[in-house]
Amino acid sequence: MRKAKELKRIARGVLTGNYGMFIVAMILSSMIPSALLIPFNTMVLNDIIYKDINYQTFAIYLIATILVALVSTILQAGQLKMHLNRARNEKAQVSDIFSQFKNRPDRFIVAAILLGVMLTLCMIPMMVVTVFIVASIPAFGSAPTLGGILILAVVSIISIIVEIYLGLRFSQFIFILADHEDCSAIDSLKQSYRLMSGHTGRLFYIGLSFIGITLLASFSFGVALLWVQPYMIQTQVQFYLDLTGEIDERIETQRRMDEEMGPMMEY
Amino acid sequence: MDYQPMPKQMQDRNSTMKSASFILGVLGIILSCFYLFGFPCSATAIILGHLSKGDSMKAEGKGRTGMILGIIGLILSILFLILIVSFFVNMFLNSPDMMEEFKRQLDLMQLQNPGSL
Repeated sequence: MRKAKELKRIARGVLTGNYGMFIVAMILSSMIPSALLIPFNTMVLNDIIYKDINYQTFAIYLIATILVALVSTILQAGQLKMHLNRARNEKAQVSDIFSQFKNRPDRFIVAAILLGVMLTLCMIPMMVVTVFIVASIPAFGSAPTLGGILILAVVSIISIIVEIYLGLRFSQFIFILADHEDCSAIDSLKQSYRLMSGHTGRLFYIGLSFIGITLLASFSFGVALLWVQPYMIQTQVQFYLDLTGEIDERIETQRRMDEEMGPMMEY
Repeated sequence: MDYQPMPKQMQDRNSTMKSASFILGVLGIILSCFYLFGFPCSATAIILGHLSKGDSMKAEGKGRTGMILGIIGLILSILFLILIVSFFVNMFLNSPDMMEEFKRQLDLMQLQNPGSL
């Protein structure tokens, strides 16, 4: 089990000399969904400008947004696969971002929807309490009671904590699906839950440890994010490889090879 | 046993990043008095310096210098920003004409849109 610092060090080592490729992949996987949405955005904007708003346009726009979000999920999975390939010293190329379209993409969509529904369900108590508090306000414009605000705050905090916890427990599903072609959506979520047992805090800490560098990147008006995002993704990939024991396996193989044939240059 | 640091040839692949960090660090200090350019140059210099460490835990050479220059540039940019803001606030507070003009504009806005303020 490696610390965040160690995983980041390995991630930096893997990315050395390959930033260009990962930056292009990242730009493509975020630009393609945006480009797909342009006609629908224009359609809605036209309606708003000419004040000819009809529900049909909004319905089409909503469906298009959902479909593009699904395409985006598959592209993100492709991007992760590219990072995984590089981390395993296998051939990685920009076209890998489209690789998951051939790897039963429906599984990614089903798993993403299931996880989305599950995380939304976590927020229901907060929504219910909010509705009750708003309904209990005697007159429009008057403030809710202190007790009501306190209950809402406690329920909100609990809901958010549960949501973050479940989000972290199921976070590895996309790696599992990208790695195992025969794994179903539900199985990937189950495996992720099992795999993350005892490691949730570690992943949470890794996420928190990126706050500083992300804030710094925001000072650069987002330019530095081009380098920071591949670094963050590669660290997550290294976390997954650490969970599955692949890093240890590789080190052991390397050690045995070193013993048999003398020290070899690896990495 | 753990991952070994990169061999020398691999470390050289970071040289572009280290140079970029160094150049941006210098630019960050020079441009720190221009809010719009000082911040991005310095921040990018720090980040590139950090990432140029590659497989090792410590930044070396130009990467390290770039990081240090980036931090200095960022501090200078923040100081310049505070200076500029305090200058304008002082100028505004110490000038009765400006205060009058501000109140006049505020009244005008209130007259045009009674519910807005």
